[in-house]
Amino acid sequence: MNKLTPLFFASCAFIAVNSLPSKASNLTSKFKIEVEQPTFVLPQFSGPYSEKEANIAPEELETAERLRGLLESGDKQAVLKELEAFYDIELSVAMLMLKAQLYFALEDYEKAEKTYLASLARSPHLVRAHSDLGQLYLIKDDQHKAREYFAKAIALGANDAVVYGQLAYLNLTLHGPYSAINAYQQALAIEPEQAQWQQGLFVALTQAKMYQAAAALLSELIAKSPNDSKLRLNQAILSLEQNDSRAALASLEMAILLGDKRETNLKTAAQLHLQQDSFERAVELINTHLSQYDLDLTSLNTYLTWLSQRGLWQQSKTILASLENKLSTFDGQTKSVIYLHKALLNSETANLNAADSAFKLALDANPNHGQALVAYADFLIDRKSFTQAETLYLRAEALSDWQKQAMLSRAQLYVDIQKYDAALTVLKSVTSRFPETRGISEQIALLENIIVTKKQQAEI
Amino acid sequence: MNKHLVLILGIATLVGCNTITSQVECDNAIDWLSLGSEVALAGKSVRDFDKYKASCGDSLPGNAQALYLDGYTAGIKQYCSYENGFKLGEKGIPDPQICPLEIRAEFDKGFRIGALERREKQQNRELAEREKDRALISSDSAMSSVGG
Repeated sequence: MNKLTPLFFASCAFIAVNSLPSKASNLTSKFKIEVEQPTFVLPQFSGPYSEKEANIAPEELETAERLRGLLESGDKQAVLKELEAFYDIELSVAMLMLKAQLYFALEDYEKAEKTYLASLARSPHLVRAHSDLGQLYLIKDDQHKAREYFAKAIALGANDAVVYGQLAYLNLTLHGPYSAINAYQQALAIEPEQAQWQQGLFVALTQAKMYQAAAALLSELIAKSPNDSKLRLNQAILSLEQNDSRAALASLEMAILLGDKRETNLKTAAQLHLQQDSFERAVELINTHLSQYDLDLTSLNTYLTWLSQRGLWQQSKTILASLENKLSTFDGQTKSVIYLHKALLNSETANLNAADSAFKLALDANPNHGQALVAYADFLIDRKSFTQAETLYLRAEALSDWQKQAMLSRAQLYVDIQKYDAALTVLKSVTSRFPETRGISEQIALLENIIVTKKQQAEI
Repeated sequence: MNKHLVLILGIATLVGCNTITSQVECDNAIDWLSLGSEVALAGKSVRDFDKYKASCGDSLPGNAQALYLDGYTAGIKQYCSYENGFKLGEKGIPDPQICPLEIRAEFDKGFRIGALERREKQQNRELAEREKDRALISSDSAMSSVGG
């Protein structure tokens, strides 16, 4: 058997739990657990000598022996040169297949495709040509054609786990989980220990909402490999799918304990701990995340916002303090987020001057930080600095993400200082720009009543 | 010694014939698809195209070879039939050995049976001639005994 260079390709991506449709959409939209995706590896391909379907012509035996020698010494180009000296019709299908495989191995995919198709034109039931073409189309990212050829290979009797596994993967991608389950089971039946098929079957079962079957598969796998963190992550996904966030957290913690330190998973674990009021562990995970990865602005803001929403000021303070000596290394946007949360922390703990300074620093670092503009304006209203607050709201209104909130806050400011006409104008403007805003028409009606009443009182 | 020399010269001539490509007219109007088919149906090697390559050089149309091979592939399927094999075998025409492996079996079978039939007919003819000779001989000896 001639073994040429194996070709590998693999796919690793997130399984975003929220991509799995479920009743738990509210819950799952919040949590993400990162696991290995089903992957596949192109097999080493053998020469045609072991093929049952394509035989070498007796007159080619001598040439074939010589080519075998060249292949064994790794000289694929020389073999190809010899084969290219013949017209295709002069070669047996077996030799033509070898030629196609050499083009494939040398990544000349156009010629490989043409030669495989020429082989199939002469021997339409050649299983190996179908499965190789499937691989070729996968590499060329033509999933529909790849699926077609893998399916044909199986229909013709291919009993190869890789072919089943790849058909399963393509069915999962193109036609949904139900069409993938059987093919994954076949692949697993041939190669019961192969992690790719186990993972693929698990994903297909989970997507098909066959949770009991998925759980049974996992239990069996965990019993065999209790220290495999990937399996614990799958268990966590399964629990989340079934809205059991406590069990999900237990599995996720187990995965982390077993060495999984992926950013997304640390973040999800921290979020689940916060949800279940186990704040100490949440902060510990947040600190692990922040110390092990480059500071990601969104995560930092999310963490500090969670903590402030739950009034965990001391924990916020600990995190902010841990970032203090790295501050100079951060960009303006990151600095602005850190100063904003410092300002909020000081504001909540009644260090008003410190809060005021921190808000200013946040806006110096990033003048277009919408959240900081609105939060600082809110802070100034409490300190009766209405004109300054109004200016900040107007600045925030220039930022599309913050426009609506800033306008509503400005309207509230005008109500607070009894400038009802101004408040009415702003609210009407909100209505025209954001017609979907709930309850605004009642507010407008209320304001109009107040204005009429005020006028009547003035006339009396 | 002389016998050996003749044999070596014979092989050299055979090898030489194989590489000589006769000149052909390089005509723009050639229907390459039909030509390929005709060559196959005539039981010639696909290598017949080499003489066009040699004669036409760069003026050979870009798709000529592909068309020729398509025609040849279609023609060879027709050529390599049981009936054709039988016909060749029966007429004692040597097997041109141009049939691809996957469609060779029926042609070979026809060729073998045709050749067998030819041999049987030949044997029968020879037998009949021998019978005739024997009859003649026995009639001659009868005559001589009468004369004796």
